[in-house]
Amino acid sequence: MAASIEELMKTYTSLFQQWLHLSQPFTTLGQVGMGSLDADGGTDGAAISRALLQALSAASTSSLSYGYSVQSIICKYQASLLELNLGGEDAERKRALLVDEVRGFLREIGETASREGRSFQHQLAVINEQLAQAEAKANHGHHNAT
Amino acid sequence: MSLSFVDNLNFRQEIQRVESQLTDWVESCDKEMIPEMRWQFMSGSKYFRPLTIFSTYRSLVPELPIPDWLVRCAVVIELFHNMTLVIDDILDKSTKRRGRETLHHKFGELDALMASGYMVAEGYRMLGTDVQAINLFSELMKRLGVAECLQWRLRRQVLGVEDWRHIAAEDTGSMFEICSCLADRSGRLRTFGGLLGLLYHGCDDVGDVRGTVSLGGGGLEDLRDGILTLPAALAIRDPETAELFSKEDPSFEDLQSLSVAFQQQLPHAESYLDQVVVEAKKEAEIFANDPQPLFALIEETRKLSGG
Repeated sequence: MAASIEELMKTYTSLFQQWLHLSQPFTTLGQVGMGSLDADGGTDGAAISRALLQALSAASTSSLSYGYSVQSIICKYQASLLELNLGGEDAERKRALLVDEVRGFLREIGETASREGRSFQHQLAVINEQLAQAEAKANHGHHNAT
Repeated sequence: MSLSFVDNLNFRQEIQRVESQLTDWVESCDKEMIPEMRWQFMSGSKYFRPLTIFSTYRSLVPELPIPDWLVRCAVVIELFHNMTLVIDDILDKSTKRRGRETLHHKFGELDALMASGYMVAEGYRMLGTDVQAINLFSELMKRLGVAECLQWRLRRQVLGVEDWRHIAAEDTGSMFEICSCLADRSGRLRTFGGLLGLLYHGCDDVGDVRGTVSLGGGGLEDLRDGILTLPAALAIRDPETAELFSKEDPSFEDLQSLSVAFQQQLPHAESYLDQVVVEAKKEAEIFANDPQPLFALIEETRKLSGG
């Protein structure tokens, strides 16, 4: 698990650097037609880099959080299965308990994936909106200046 | 209205607006329907569904007052909720609800059925051009219908907690899901609403079993009809209890034994509900701008089990 997380982080970082590199020509000061000067005289390049960095951070956090949530669900259900094995209840009752436990386990794994996915999507939507706002502000400043 | 949780959630004024609009509406009904509607709507609602709508809205835009269009949605959800109560009472052959005669017991089944249709029709009319709300209420009607058939078809069957969860999520869960979506049209608090409904349903199940202990009556219909409640789903893991539960025509002694078996499961049921609380809080934390109103709503709902 640890190795795969490390690998994942490396992939994300490398992707991020590629993105940053590819977007650099468009985010330097004074690019024609890009509205790159904002009202405060800054660049919207910073907003783009910030958005990419935030997206990278959200992707990494989401991957980690999903991994840990799955791990914690597995541990929880392992503990209750152990308890079930140690208990002195009759076989039929144990079977009913086991079926409920396994079904609960499958549901929780699915719900965790869905929640993490929705959460990541929500974070990206916020970043998306912030970038759009920054771009609109920069364009507004540029038009006012001209 | 003298419900402490309305004050605890800080929505007294908004609930008064809902009550006042409902009263005005009742008096504007066809004179043939006014006695039925007065009887149904003057029986002291808990207003949990409007409170869910308002709390969801406040968790997303804490700085704004509750708008008129949202109060209208809350009035409509009360109409739909009352329709389900009337139908449930007819199905369960209940003679009393909230300590008063049920609508069909007082006015007859024909009047009760027609009144329930009248409520739904009025609900849609009140929504006017709010197409998204119309779609949400249509989804609710369909899911409630399916859930009722499912619950009735599965009665007396030996099923598990996961089956209870599915039924509860479609029954009460769908109602609260829609409440959240009415206030949050992006749908990001939909799952929160579903979990809150699940919690409400479970607390109601547990509260009914507790009622059987203290009052000698609560939850008797569910017991008699073999409805899969949370304590029942936990208790019927025991083969002897399962056999009693699946009996087509249980004797009074059978029902008493079942009642005892369900009561023994109350600590497990409470602990299961605590887990649902954790899930609901997690959803609120991730998806609300200010989760506090939703946390308060969860706390008030959790109290309903009486534990």
